[in-house]
Amino acid sequence: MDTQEEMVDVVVHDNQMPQMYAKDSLDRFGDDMCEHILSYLTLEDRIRCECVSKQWQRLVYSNVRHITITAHLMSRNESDGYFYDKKIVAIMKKCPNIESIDCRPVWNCRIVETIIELRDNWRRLRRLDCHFLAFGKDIVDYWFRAIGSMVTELDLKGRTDSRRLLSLCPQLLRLNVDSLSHVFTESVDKQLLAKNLRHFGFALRLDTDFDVSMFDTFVAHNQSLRSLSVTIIPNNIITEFVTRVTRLPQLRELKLKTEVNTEYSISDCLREVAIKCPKLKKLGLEVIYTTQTPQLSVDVLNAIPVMKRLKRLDLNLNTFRRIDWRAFHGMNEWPKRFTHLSLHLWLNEYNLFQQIETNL
Amino acid sequence: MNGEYSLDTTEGMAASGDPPTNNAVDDYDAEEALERQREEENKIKIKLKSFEGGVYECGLTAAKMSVMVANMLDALQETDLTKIATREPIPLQNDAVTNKALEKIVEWVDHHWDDPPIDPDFDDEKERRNEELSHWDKQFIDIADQGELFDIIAAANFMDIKGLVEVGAKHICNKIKGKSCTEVREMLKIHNDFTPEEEAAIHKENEWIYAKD
Repeated sequence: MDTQEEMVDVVVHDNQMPQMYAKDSLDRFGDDMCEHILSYLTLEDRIRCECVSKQWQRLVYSNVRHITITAHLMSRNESDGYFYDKKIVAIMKKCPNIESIDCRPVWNCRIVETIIELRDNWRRLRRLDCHFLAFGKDIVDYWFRAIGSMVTELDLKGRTDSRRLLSLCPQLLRLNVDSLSHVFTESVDKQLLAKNLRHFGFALRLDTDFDVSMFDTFVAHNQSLRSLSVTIIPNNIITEFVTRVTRLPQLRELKLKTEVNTEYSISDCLREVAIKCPKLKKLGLEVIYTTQTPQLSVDVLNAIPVMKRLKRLDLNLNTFRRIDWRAFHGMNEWPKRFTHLSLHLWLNEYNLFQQIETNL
Repeated sequence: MNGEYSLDTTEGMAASGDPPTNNAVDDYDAEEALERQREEENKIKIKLKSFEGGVYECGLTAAKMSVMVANMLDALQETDLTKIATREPIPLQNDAVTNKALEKIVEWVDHHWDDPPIDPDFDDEKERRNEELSHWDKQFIDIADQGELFDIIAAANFMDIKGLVEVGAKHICNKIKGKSCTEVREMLKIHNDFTPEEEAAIHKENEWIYAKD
């Protein structure tokens, strides 16, 4: 203990006599406070810190809510090049209050299987993130039969069996698919397989069997959608498409990847979105330039001041052409809640930053 | 770039007997009106008194980020808010609330009082926990004197300012990152109450985590 006697705190510790702790010692904090501070540690740091003191040993696992199993952690868990997850699982068993486990950084199906098997150890567990793309059909089938009724989020990009898996997951809230047609049955009546989603991501391509009425059906059955992420390659349908997006009044986040050319300006569409979806907080625009596009059309950002609640804008401009920095002229009229601007640029745009700086 | 760690200020408002407000307010105009009201109220300055007797002035809305202060103001049952400004300073009876700590706390709430409230439908708790501190918060909390830092965290906890406690906790955890037990003990001045045998046993069990990269 530190000897700075002139600066001491008196803390009643458990049922012992009051003890004196130096002001600059973490020992001055009681269990509740200490547990709260330690709740921001990573799993790896927790394990390393277990032997700091008896208080830490007691608290370091008790308040673990979210765990990410990193590749780094797994590589330390390796014996002679052979992965075994016993040690991680043993640590996790010490954490009774885990709410979510994220296994995505590792492509190890054994650890995921073990967690599913032992899931009753964590009474609060309500979220498990894992990859299953690499797993065989039999394992996937077995899993989805066993836990499909509990699955709330699913990324089916790159899978051909999405329709079959969707029918096993009635509780879905978040879904990513390659194509909108993948959420409809292949039968003639085209039944919608995904209803009441909160988050949805998909791609629209002309070469697929897209027809606008499919998106109409989807919108009608997903009125509480919070976020939508969509890639539209043929931009001649963009106006038609965005008009339908405005029928989603709860929308908080919209990500749009599209071509921009002079013929189909997305500025007017975005303005309509701004008015009809007043809760929008995040907007992502990824622009694919066609040969006809001279530069970032000045009016693309015109709709931003109308998005009153907008906090974040991600702008990804896949171009070697110079950006017309006048697009940022209106920045002083941007929403006052706006906090994050993220720009993906291919060229050093000194003028652009100058423009942003003078307008902030 | 701030505002990612705001505590839910509407909670504080509701607790202090203001017009009932909840997160489900749909109408943008109503939100605007509430915001204007918060802005107006923040122009009213109230005085807070540290344990050491120092008096610090702070906007009313900012001060209400402390649930404890909000409750105390509520208990006054003052309908004319401007009268609050002329009242005696509010005493903060905890020895962690030193002059230095209270000065810093007032600086923090004055910077964060108009943080947007958390949208439980959209903002993910896990994401928020993992999000890095803002540049402003990092500079604010990077305090050389550890005793002062701990005072601020303890005082913020006493005053029930969740956002600031979170900033302090994240800062300490950032400092712990990658350090060994011994280094952590040394840095945070923690007394090792394990016997060498006990410590060696835990160490052996967790040996794999210390393996060199």
